[in-house]
Amino acid sequence: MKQDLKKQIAKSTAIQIYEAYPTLWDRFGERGFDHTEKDNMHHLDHLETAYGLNDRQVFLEYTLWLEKVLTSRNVESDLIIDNFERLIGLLDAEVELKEREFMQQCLQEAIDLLKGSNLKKGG
Amino acid sequence: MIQPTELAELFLQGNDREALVQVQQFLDSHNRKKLFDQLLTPAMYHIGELWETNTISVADEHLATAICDFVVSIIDKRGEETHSSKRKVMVLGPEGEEHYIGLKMVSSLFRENDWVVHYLGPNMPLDHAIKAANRWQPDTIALSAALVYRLPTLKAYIKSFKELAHAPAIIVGGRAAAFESSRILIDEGAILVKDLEQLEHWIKTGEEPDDEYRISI
Repeated sequence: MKQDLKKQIAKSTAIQIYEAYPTLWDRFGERGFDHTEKDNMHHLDHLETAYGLNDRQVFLEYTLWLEKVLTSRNVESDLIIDNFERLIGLLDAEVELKEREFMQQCLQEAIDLLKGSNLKKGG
Repeated sequence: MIQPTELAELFLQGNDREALVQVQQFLDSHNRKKLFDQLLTPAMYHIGELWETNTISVADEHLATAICDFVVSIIDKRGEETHSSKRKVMVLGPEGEEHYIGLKMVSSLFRENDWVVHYLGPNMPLDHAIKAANRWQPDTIALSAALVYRLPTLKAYIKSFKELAHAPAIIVGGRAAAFESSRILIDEGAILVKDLEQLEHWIKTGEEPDDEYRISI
């Protein structure tokens, strides 16, 4: 995936999230928005690596690490799930079919994993 | 004997003197490889986990890394005359990789085993690494990466190093090397070491570690 396209998807995702949850501006401010955009670049980098290695586990392990880092900084798992769902949608029109299908499957498995760990926590 | 979490606490306090005293006491009855594998690496992994869970800040983590760096530098074996007959190793991290304590431990272990080391540090651009290798002609190039998403970059580095006319051995370590997908690096011709124990075994015997992933499939 081209760098410009990744940047565009990361920015669109951050905008969508902050439009859907305007209270995030109060909670995390401009810095939070920038972090969300950067985090989405990391998500896309890891999706690309997983695709390059043909190994979805790379993205699933990253997801578990990400959940630990973000939930300890008051970003709840539901917000990560919401983020990944938006990425599935935003990948749709822009990315080449084989790569897109692989990445969407990674994201779906990661969402299932996060929902599972949410259940365990009683969330 | 001090435990890794206790040493991590000294690092986080910025207590360089006491950290060094404790490490030197450990070295009275252990070698450097054991110090790195059993004490310093677990201490630094513990600090990484404290950051992951937001127990410490980035500033705390950087302070702890600086103290660990100080300790590793102080105990490094230096100062002996360089003979042309000694084997040579070039140690580096690929572009984008900022972690470097592991590279310093690897350098120290090679020195302890009487190699001449050129430590080029982390975040080393490939074209400059190639030029340095052509100029200095090391017997071995050692690479390390902490994050699994550096694997494609490592693969590209290995591919280029394999084209060097003097054909150095290429060793890869770091947390990324412990990941199952890292076996693609073996396919590129690299020797994968998952810890300093395996690295020292290779240094002393030239025997490569078993490819556990290949056996398990």
